[in-house]
Parts: sequence; C-alpha cells; structure tokens
Amino acid sequence: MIRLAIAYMSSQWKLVTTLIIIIGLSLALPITSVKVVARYQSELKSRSLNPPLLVGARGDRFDLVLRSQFFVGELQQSLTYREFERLKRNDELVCAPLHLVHSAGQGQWPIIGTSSVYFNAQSLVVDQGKLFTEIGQCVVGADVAEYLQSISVLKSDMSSVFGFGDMLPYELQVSGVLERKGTPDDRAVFVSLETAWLLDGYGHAHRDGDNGTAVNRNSVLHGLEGAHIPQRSKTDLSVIDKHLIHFHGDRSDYRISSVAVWPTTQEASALLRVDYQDDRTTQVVVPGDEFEKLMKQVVRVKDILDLVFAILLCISAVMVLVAIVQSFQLRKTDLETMRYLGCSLSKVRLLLLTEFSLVAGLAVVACLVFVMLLESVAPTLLSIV
Amino acid sequence: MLSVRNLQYRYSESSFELNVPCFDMQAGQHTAITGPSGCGKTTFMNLLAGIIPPSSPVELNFRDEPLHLGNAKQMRVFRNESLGFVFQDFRLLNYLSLSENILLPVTLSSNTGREQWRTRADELIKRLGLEDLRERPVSKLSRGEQQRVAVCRALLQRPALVLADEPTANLDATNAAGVWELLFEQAQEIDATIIAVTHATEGLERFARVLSFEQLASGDTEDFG
Repeated sequence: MIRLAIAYMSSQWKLVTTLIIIIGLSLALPITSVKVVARYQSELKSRSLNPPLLVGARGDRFDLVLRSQFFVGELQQSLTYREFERLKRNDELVCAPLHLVHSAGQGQWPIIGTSSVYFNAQSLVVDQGKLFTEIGQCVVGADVAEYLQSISVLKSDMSSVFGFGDMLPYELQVSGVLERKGTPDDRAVFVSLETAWLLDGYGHAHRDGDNGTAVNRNSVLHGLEGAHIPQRSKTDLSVIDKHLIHFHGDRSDYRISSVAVWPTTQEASALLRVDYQDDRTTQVVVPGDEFEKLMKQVVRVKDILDLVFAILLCISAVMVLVAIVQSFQLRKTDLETMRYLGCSLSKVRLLLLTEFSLVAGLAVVACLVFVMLLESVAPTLLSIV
Repeated sequence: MLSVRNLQYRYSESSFELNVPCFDMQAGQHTAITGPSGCGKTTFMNLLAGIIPPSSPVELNFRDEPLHLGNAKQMRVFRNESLGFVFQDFRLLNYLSLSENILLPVTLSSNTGREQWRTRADELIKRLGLEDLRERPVSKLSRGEQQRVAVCRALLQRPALVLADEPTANLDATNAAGVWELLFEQAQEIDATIIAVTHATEGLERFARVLSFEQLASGDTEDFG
C-alpha cells in the first residue's frame, strides 16, 4: 500500500509539494510566533532580576532601557562623566557608569565600558582569570569566550569605515571570562572606562616627539588645548607601551552613555526620580515600567498575528479540502478500477489513509524545517538582542 | 462451468431493461457476444463480474458453486482470484509502471507469495516483448501496448474465467490482432474460459461459439456462427 501511495504521490508531486508547503507553513507560522514571543518575554525577564534605575540623556525612554540593558548599540545622546560623579557622591546610590559606544567582532560583541561596581551589582562572577586591572584589558562574557576559545587578544572594531581619525581599533588583552548568566552580559566585552575612552580617542599612546596632526572637527578632542592626533598611535598596548598612554582634556567632560543606579533604599529611589523629574537634559527611567509597556505592545501584536494566522489557517484548510476533493474526482476511475480488480473498500480507504498520513508526516517535517528557518531569521527581526 | 438464470437489470435513466433468461458456458469454451453499441453488452459483463448489482435475484453458478451477486465479499474474492477482466478502456493506473500495473491485482489482494507472481509477470512481459519497458509508466506506452498490458493483468493469476469487454474497440487492425492472439494463446495455456463482447467482426473466427445479443436476450444460446 505504501508503494502504491508513494507512486501516486510521486506522479502528483507538484500538488503534493504545494499541499505540504501550505500545511507546513500554516502550522509553522503560529508555532514560530508563540516561540518568538516566549523568547522575547524570557529575554525581557533575564533583565528583570534586580534591575537598576537608568540615568541617561533625555530622549526615547525605551531606547535608553534597550541599549543600557541589552547592549544593542550606541545611544544617540550621551552624558558626561560629571553626571556620574554627581550621582556617586550620594551614599545611598550604588552607581555604575555605562559606556556603550564600541564593539568587537564586526559589531557582534558590544564593548561596555564600566566599573567593578557593575559586576557586583549584577552578581557577575569571573569564572576564569581576573577582572580588568589595567588599561587595554577586557573581561568577556561566556558566549564571546566560547567563540574566541584560546585566543587572548580581541580587536575592537574600527569606528570609521575609512579608518580615519582618532578612534582606532585597539587590541584588547582578555584578562578574564565571566560565568554564564543567560543575560546579554554573556555576549558582551567589558572594559574599564579608561579603556573605553582610549577607544573614543580621548587618549592615545605614541612615541615622544610624534606631535602628529591637528585635531579635526569630528574628533572628541576638538577644541582642547594641546590635543593632537599622533602620526603613529600604538594600538597593540604591551606592558612597555602603557606608560606612553596619556589623555587630553578634563575627564569630567568625557562622555558616558548612561548610569545604572541601584538605590539602597526606597526613599533614595523616590528622591532620585524626583530629582530628575524636571531636568531638561537628563532623565531617570525604571526599566520594569518600560518592559511592561513593551510586553503590552508585544501581546497586542501577537493577538493581531494570531488572528491573521487563524484566517490563514482557515484559507489553507479550504484549499487543502478543495485539492483533496479534486484529487478524488480525478482518481475516481483509478479507485473504481481497484474495486473492479477485487480490492476491498477497506483497502482503498487504507490506501487513501496512507497517502494522507504521508502528506501529513511530510507536512510536519516541513513545518519543523520552516520553524527552524523562521527562528533563525527571527532573532534579527523580532528579538531584542 | 458457468450458468446464469434470470439475470435482469433495469436502467434507472431509461426504460430499457436487460434480460438474460438463460446462459451457460462449458469450461475452456470461448464465447463471443456481438451486438451494436448500446445494446447492453458491457452491462451484461459488469453484472457477471458483480461490479453492478442485478435488479432482481439471480441464479448464478460458477464451477458448480452458487455465486451470490449481493455478497460483496464473495464477489470481491471471485473477481480477484477466479476472474480476469479486460476492460474496453484498459483501466490502467497511469502513474504505475508496466510491471506494477500487471501486478496490481496481487498488490491489492491479501495474496501471499508475491515472488511467484513477480516471476509470472516477468513471463508475461517477456511474452509481450516489453522487457525494456517494464519500469516505464504505462502512460508512455502506445494504445496497443497498453491493451496488451491490460490483458496480461487479467491473466496474471491464471483465472478460470476471462471477461473481455470490447478489448480491441480502440485499436487498429494490427494491434487488435495482437491483442486477440495474446488473449487466446494465454487462455489456452492456463485453460481459461473466455467470454468476450464485441461489435466488430474481426477475430470472431477464433471463438468456438458466437452469439448475438438478441440470442442472449431470448435465451437461445446456440451458436449461430
């Protein structure tokens, strides 16, 4: 019976393939939607444990949360280090600066400039090696370490595609690897703020006497007295070269992206929010509130998608039914011939059942393939990170 | 070998009524029934094969055993094991190969010993001279080749009775002669009885008895040929 079923299906491969694709896609779309939304929720939840308040430049609140918590790129507006210093003076606030400008691995891994406070507050444990202690060192998340394997040097991405200016790709020494946490920290490269500023171009290392060229107007050093772009910057910082590193300008004016703040008391938290309530340039955002708003949006979109998929499923069901009825009509003579040759009705039914089962089985396989394909595309379309 | 009494069939869409009061066949006897198109020849064959039910109870004996046309299971076994049916329009399954079509009655039955039937099918294919085309879909064969495949399918299980409904109706003279030759040669080999209906006169000389449909309807089944 299977041979007969396969022979018929092979002869009708175009119809069978169409049916398999229709059924497979009709099942795969809602399944993928459920899985992607579940993953989205789990990604949001990964940052819901002890979330800090975020202080950043006024602008899109969700953008501030997304970039500061999930490290998905640079913020359009930045703060100065002065803002962080101001917050740090409050004993009831535990603050960690976040510098979110640079990346490594062609944008694959964000380079986060921060302090050791961030690791304590987020309960991040150095699994191998040690935390960065010197400029030019980095600590990598578990995903990055897995990719790098035994490689101990990581090159930062060139900020300008033409390689001009003072933001050069530096070779960072991997000093430690973080324990896996299942959060965006796993795919991040952490450096000290000094290292991040070095990547910004606030500082550089060069031989004595290399006074270089004047600072161009796009440089972070533009307007600073005595600042210059060396002809030959040292970007592979060995121990010997580190004494050559020097910074220009006032450190308080250096940029940071945002500040993660963990108030030690409810009162401190409330006061902080009140403090920034009427500030025209800086804002405080509670990530949980933004997550909630986002989830409401996601659920709304999912509801719309569910409706679309339900309609799609109905259309597919009708199409499949029409195809089956038409196929029956076309095969009427064949099925009659089988009965004329002494085949029982139950065997004819068994043959049809075998064909349905094969189509259904192949449709399930197609569905799994589609789900895998859609899921592999989904991270770039729907996922946060 | 086969005896039929009071075979009646009333067509639902017309007032025409088929009535065969008496029809007998001896084992190994080959009978041709002639008549113009639309006289009821195909209906008679379908009734004998149990494909359509008669309008009233009929007395039918095959090899001295009663056959109950209303008993679907008995008629199915009869069609599958004791009867070979050659259809006018071949009724081959186009998506199957030549050999798969010949083996179809065995594939559809619960018959064991598939290997034995495969050998038998090979013999028949060899007899057709179509060894090279055995895996070719029947849709790619000529009409003459297709009807010969249909004859081989009917003769595969060495049936005692072969019903041939206008087996050469859609064929040219050369192909028609080839089909008759194959049918008679194989029937002789397996000692089968043939009942063939045809409106053509070619090939009738091969039959021991030739009846007109009018004779059949009147119960006068003596050979007029």
